[in-house]
Amino acid sequence: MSKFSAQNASIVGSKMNGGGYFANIQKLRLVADEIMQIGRESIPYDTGNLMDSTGIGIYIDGVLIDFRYENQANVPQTFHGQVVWGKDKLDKALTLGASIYNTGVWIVLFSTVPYAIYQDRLSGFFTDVMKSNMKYLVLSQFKTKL
Amino acid sequence: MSAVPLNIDVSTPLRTLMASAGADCSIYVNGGLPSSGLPASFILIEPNGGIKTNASKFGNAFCVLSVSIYVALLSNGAVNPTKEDILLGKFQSLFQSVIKTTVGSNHFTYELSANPMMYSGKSLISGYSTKILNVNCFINY
Repeated sequence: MSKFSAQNASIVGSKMNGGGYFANIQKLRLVADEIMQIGRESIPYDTGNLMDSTGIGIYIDGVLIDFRYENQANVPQTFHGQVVWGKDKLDKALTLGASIYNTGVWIVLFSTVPYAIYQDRLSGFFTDVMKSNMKYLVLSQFKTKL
Repeated sequence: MSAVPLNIDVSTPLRTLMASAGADCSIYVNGGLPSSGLPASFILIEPNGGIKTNASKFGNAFCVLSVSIYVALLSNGAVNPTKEDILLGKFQSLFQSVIKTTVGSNHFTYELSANPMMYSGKSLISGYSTKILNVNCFINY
């Protein structure tokens, strides 16, 4: 975790502990809604698979308390010849909760198909644009100086 | 009291409780979902996160289960809200009082999480809508 990420985590964490628990969960859910909306408006609809590769998980101490995933495609994604449905993403999200997100509060943007990685390398859409949006929205919700 | 085993299965006792309370659909646990021939509606119980304790030597423990309720979509691809509501209502009615059971030397107490709805949507599995709720499990409390 970089110095700035650690600082942001510290600020959001202190706000989480200082405010009402459910109100703060709701704030993170609003962020998730906004991010999914940005995805819907930004990702061009072709087969829907790129949009379908995108999901959000909110974790508290390793427990997945909110999972956002939107299926637009009428056909499943394929990965090395195998069809991939949202259930596979959910399983992955649950596994990650028990491992790398098992302490503290996390909001995680998932982008899980190889095509998404390809697009990200071309444009930085996920690791740059969406990540910046998410950081802005989280800090805005918790009314921290930006 | 002996320590709670780290590999304890908390899903199966909940399935047994739900079945004995009259759940009239198939209930699968811990990823034991068949790859084909799924029924028109079913429930899947899986661990959500790890097992935790505040006690010394793991004398008691706490964990969360995700309970997924799957209902087949209507022939026009729409969600079947009537069937969903029936299953959801039956599930919720289980938790109107404390539900607990004992398996071996371990005591399990279940309650709906305070903010239980984790996901609601369709096509996590082809042709089904899904509602996922988190259930707290207290072991040896």
